[in-house]
Amino acid sequence: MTVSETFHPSMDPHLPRAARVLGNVPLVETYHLLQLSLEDEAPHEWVMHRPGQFVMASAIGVGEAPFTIASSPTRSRPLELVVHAVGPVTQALCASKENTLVGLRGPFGNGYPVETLVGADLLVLTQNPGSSFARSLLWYALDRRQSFGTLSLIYETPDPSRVVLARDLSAWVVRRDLTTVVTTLGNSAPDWPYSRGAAADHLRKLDIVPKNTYVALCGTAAFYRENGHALVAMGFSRGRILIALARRMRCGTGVCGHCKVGSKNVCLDGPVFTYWDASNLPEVM
Amino acid sequence: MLVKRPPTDRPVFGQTTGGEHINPSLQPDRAVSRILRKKDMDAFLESVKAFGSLYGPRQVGPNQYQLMPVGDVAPVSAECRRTILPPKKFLIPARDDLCHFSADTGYRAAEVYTGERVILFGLHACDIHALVTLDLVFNGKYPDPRYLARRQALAVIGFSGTAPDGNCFCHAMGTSHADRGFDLFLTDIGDEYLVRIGSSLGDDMMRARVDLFGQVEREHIDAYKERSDRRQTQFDDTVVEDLPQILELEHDSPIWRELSERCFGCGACAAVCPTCYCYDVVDLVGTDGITGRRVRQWDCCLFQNFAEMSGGFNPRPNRTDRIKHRYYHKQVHFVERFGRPSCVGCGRCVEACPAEISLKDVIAAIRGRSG
Ligand SMILES: Cc1cc2nc3c(=O)[nH]c(=O)nc-3n(C[C@H](O)[C@H](O)[C@H](O)COP(=O)(O)OP(=O)(O)OC[C@H]3O[C@@H](n4cnc5c(N)ncnc54)[C@H](O)[C@@H]3O)c2cc1C
Ligand code: SF4
Ligand code: SF4
Ligand code: FES
Repeated sequence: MTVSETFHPSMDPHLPRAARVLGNVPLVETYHLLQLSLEDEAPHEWVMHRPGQFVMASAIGVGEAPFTIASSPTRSRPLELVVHAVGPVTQALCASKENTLVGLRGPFGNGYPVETLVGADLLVLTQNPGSSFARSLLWYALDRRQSFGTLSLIYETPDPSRVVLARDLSAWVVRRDLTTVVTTLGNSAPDWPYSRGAAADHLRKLDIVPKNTYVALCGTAAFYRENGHALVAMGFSRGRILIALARRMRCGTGVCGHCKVGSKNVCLDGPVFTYWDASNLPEVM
Repeated sequence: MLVKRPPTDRPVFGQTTGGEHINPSLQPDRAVSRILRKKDMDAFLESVKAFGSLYGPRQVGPNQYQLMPVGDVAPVSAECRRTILPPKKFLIPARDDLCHFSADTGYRAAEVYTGERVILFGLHACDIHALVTLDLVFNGKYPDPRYLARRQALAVIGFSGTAPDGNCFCHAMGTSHADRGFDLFLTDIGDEYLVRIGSSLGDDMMRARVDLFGQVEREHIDAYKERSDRRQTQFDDTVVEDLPQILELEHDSPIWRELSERCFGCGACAAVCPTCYCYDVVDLVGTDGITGRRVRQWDCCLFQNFAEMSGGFNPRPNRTDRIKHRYYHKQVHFVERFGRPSCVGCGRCVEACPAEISLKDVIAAIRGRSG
């Protein structure tokens, strides 16, 4: 027996599977919604992931990068990513036409602890960066509405014309089983019908009971600091506040070392961490 | 799931490194020791070549050794303290293809190693511990097929017979002796080697020249113990007891900034370290513009852009942060994750550093009263 027979290439965690771009919808700025389907996709394959998990997506010949799965596992197809074109890989993905071949590996990471969240009230706070996490989790909770208590969302946008999840928001604001606050940091658009100010300014206006509620914070480190602070001041346990970390990633499988924070690998132990865990990791808060 | 479930019966490394996994209890005379006379060493190594390509430490310069093919003439230098590059070069090549790609057909896995068995002769206990440490990382949640193929093809003949030098601190790191991770382990006990057999492959190697091996007698046991006692006294007094806790306390020590002013960030320490495994991934496009290959190559957390993300955000923008990251990864975070440090005290980083930074001195300084 040669040693290589022990391994089948399909078990190779480094090998991207071929996927096609089914749709590429420009959102705002350089954000795009990519809809993808695996060439050899098993039926309902994407029911298997958890909200908050990520894939490693490759633009062939350019490179590979991590992306949160922006669709909910409650909707089996297509797999959706919200991609912000900021560099070579993301630009190539955002420029890809329908039917373009791309590579996908994953899903990787822990995702949200949905078993724990079931039965609790859920509050999601998001900015544009990080909105993929919010999108996946919120659709999951809405599609399993009876499994959750109250659902609330605060969406903070830099200005009214730059809401990445505008399409999803138009579906969310009309729902009676979800409290939605859309708030803008900017002063433009005097006819903006929604709220103004930072997400943290609206926390106390919500009818939430800290001990019954889990909060998912989706955004930048500054966003986590500001809102984490406000939530703890409101009586939230640090263990009930969930943040999602982004770090440079090369493997997604806990080996390459790029995503390490302290003793954790964001790709294995994260990207979702409690605020308590995150506060105790170096270089995070 | 995009990634198929890893096989549940994946190889577990330990006593057996040759690929032949035989339940020891089924073997009539299991793991035993034998005696090999020093003058028979060359004849024995010659016979070992029948089991694969044999590599051993060869002198390449004054006090410089490399693991190189054992040829017909030049003897292996058993007196070598440490090779410039550690055995990891046989498991994680400095550059390795992960897959091939084409814009038309997507990705195809690169071949895993299917070559001959590689037999490494002369590995010291610290390097054997380093291999077992790498296994923890590469045989984790997502077993790494490229690493494992090479690992399964690797056989290890350990060796202990060289007195430590001032850069060694394996004793402090608990890696000066190995009880697993080898096929054979030879200990110099005077005129003979005590040969410990660690796997059925090692047993096969011994049996191929069974005429060279004698039984262990009382005098050999006593000679081994005497040598063991003597060896305990050959190491200096580097202390790493509760080092993770002391490092936690000294997180803000000025030592880290002082180190950063001396370190060039050249990455030599990581390249020569037997347990440094971080890698980068790059796509190389061929001249046709549509096909190419994805390779992984050694990386180093001391490089400025190691953790940098788009928009320039860098969790460790200063060299002080990066130096701390490397030390804390090895001595604190790896312990938290795997129960042991990822430093085996081999002293290679001390020898390789152009800034003459010594990990031993850093440990001593951090344990000192003014931190
Ligand atoms: C868990 C996770 C989820 C993510 N989800 C999304 C998402 O849903 N949508 C989205 O648009 N982006 C997401 N990102 C960020 C995205 O991976 C980076 O924007 C992307 O790597 C940039 O690559 P580039 O080649 O286009 O840019 P470059 O500027 O060339 O990036 C430079 C290098 O840094 C790395 N890098 C840059 N930024 C990041 C970053 N923020 N995080 C990790 N590595 C980075 C890249 O791998 C690249 O090698 C996520 C990152 C992580 C870790
Ligand atoms: S850190 Fe230095 S002494 Fe420790 S294992 Fe690596 S090279 Fe050897
Ligand atoms: S070898 Fe020395 S100078 Fe180079 S990165 Fe390591 S510690 Fe710094
Ligand atoms: S991305 Fe490689 S270790 Fe996490």
